[in-house]
Amino acid sequence: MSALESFFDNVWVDALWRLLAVLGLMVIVVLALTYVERKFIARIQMRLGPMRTGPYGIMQPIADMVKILLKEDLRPASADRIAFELAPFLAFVPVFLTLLALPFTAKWDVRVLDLGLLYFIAVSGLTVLGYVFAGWASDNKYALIGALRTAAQLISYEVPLVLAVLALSMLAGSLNLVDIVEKQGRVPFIVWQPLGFFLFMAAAVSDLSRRPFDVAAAESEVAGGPWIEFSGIRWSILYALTEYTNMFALCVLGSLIFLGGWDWPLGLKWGWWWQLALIFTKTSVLILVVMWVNATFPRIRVDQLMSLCWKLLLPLAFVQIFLNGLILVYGWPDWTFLLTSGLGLAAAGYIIYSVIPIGAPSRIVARSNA
Amino acid sequence: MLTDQERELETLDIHVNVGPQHPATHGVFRMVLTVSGEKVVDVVPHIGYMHRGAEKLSEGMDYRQALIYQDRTEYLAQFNAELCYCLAVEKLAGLEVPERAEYIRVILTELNRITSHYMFVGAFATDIGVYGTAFTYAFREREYIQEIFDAVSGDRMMYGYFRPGGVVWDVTDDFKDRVRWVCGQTRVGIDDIDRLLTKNEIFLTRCLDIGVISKEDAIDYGLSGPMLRACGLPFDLRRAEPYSIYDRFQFDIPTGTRGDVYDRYLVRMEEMRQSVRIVEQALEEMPDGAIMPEKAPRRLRLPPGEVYMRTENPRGEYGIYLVSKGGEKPYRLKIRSSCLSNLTALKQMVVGHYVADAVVILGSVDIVLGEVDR
Amino acid sequence: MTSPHEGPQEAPIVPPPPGTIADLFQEALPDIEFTATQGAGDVILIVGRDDVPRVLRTAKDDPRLDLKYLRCLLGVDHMDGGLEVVYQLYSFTHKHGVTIKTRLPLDDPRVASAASIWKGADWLERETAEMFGITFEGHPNPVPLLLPDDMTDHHPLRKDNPFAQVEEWQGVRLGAEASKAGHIPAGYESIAGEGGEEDGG
Repeated sequence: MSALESFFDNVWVDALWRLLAVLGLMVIVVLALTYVERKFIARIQMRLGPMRTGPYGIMQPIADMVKILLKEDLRPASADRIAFELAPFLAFVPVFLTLLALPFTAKWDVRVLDLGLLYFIAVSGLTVLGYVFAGWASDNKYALIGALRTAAQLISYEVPLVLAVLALSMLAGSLNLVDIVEKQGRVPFIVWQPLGFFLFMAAAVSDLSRRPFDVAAAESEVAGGPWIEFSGIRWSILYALTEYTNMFALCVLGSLIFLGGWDWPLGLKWGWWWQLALIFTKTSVLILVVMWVNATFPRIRVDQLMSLCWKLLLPLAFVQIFLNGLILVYGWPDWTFLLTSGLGLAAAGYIIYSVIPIGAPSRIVARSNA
Repeated sequence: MLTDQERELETLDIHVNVGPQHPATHGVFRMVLTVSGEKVVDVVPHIGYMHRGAEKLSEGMDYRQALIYQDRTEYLAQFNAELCYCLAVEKLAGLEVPERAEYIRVILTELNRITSHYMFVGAFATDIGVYGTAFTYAFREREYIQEIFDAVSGDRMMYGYFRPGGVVWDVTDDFKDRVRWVCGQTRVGIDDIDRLLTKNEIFLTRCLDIGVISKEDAIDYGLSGPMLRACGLPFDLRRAEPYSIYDRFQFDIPTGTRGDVYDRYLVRMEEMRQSVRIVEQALEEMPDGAIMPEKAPRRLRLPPGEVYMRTENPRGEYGIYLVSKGGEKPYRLKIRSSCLSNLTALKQMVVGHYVADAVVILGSVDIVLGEVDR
Repeated sequence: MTSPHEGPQEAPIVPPPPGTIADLFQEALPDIEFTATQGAGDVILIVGRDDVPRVLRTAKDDPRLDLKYLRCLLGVDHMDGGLEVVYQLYSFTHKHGVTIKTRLPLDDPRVASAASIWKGADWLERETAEMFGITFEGHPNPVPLLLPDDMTDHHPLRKDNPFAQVEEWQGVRLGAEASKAGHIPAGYESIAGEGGEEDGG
């Protein structure tokens, strides 16, 4: 072994360069996502999006970054100093930490943890603290209300997220993300767990505070979100970095555990470039779906948000776990997964459609006979 | 009555001030919500930020000049307001409007109704939280019609095109073709927005049974237009008290059943389709000819008298109470604002709902502050 | 204001033909004095100030009239003739409407409030009160609606409000007296004494 290889074999050096690689990846991804979101949503809205900064607006994220870095760093005089400084980091760092457990291809990851899935969910749940700190530190009653609402939303939606992922891990028999991906060699888990996928995506969109679940942002119509007192780089950490990194991480996770990750189809056979292409495509599809929903749907009210979580998603998640358990214990064939989960998804759709009556069309009266 | 336990937990009511700079872009309007927890307990609307004294100024203008204030008052349905004013003056003066001018006026007025309702759909969807998709769709459609208005009157917003007696100059030669094309395009545009919003579950949950007002209350408050029709009363001034040449056209009057926000939205969407019908019929029948009466006096001197002329604005009943004491200027020009009367019912509709619903209900009233405040 | 050649003229009282809503009012309230005239659009009933509450209440409640819809409520300043409050009513069931007017003396412009009869009268009366200085007795919330809260000293839509002077030079032929009286602001002397208006348009 040459000196260079033994140098890189050192566990600290190894961890360091992988960390830096993920950091670099994250920066690039966030910049790219800001641009992609603006262009994609603009196209849905029949606009062009950024066009002036650079060819087709490519330099827009750079311009935004420069602008944010140069902004004055404001802090309300009566704000709680420590909490104010700490809040953006409390929100962002857990999200970054989740990236460390994700295997991007068979060989490219920071660390493959045996409890990788559990680690992801557990650590990403810490971002709530950041929002609460932000709301409290701002010394602004509307920020506090917004922060508590966000906390309620994020904590509530953790539960269906965890349960959906748990149901999936029952299927895979492991919490190790690489194992889960490799078990999808023949068929991705979305086929076996359509209900689980729906629950995961709904909970993920809510975890990201995106439309239709962006009640915290809607507060700014009437009151204010938890980050109204934050500006410049603080705001960008709290809002842009956290949100886009979280979106990226959740979509990578979703493509790993539901869509077959870098393995399906034929990932392990064809090498790293194919695996990279696969994971990139699948993550992009999920990200674009999240953005598409963001551009199209109105937002739901905060009480409707809560009842959706506790009255619909949670019971369905329990049902999914129960059904999975039944099938695994009795050793029924794999297609029963599809049958039961598919029926569960159909039931969810039916409940949504029947609970919310389709509006009666307007009654046309008084036809003219002139 | 609160028990001792409840009194210990009693929280204070918060006053939430919404406006005057309102992110939901309804103009300078301020409402102070008294909120207990999540529910709104009281609403106090404050208006008058846009009061410019249109009625007083009109008393100093002669009858041709006073027309201009109608545009500035109702700046989203300008032709409707101008039409009402011109009809009021013509009624008192006994002016006979030539056929071609009548048809031009009706076509432009109905197209203006469509643009006004597009504006409503865009702003309302933004209030509900659709990021901007419905807004840009609506404004793209609106732009097609705005181009026609621009070509006809030379202005994009303050048209000043109608005159007592007719219209100021004739329309362009390609007017009929452009309007015909716009009618087809509007049908497509309405369907696009319809598909986006009308059956969307989230839109439904935000709109159904929100801001309900009963028919009796609606009549008592003086509501009119889509607000009243959504409550179930099929009253449209174009049918009940026909003015201009509206009695020649076939159109339906969409009526709701529940009196809530969703019905108001549906009524307005359907009204757009009916307006397209009227425009198409008018296009078929539009004759050539003069656009102002031959013996139109240069200076309009009205005989003494008074008249209350009311027309169906996109927002309701727009009325002009004109008092003339001889002479060239109106003695008293009172503008009966549809939005002001619609806004009086705001408290009744909002109290008991959540804060987020207050914005939605305000959006469904579809106010134009220029008309509320004049 | 009119041109200097004529003063303001009143419309003649034209009694409405039989069978209009004026007869229904006479039936419902036989002891009240009405002056009925056929306006350009609706029948106009002129009642005395003290009869207004009864008339309005009956207009709404009486099943023959059923005028449940208050369309418009406004004030008019007739200068020496006093202030006038005009109510425009409509009935959806009978499809008839009427204009009810009442004159108030300049030194005592009070009238009963209709806010207890129609909820929509609330704001309309607030606006009329602040613009003309009319007091609506029994109004639940008599604060200004459109004007600033501190503007209680003068009433904009009254004819003796300062704007009346501006009207004279704006647009209409100015007489020599007007220019001598100094009503023309500095810089506008060139248009004084000519016909202010061009024609056309």
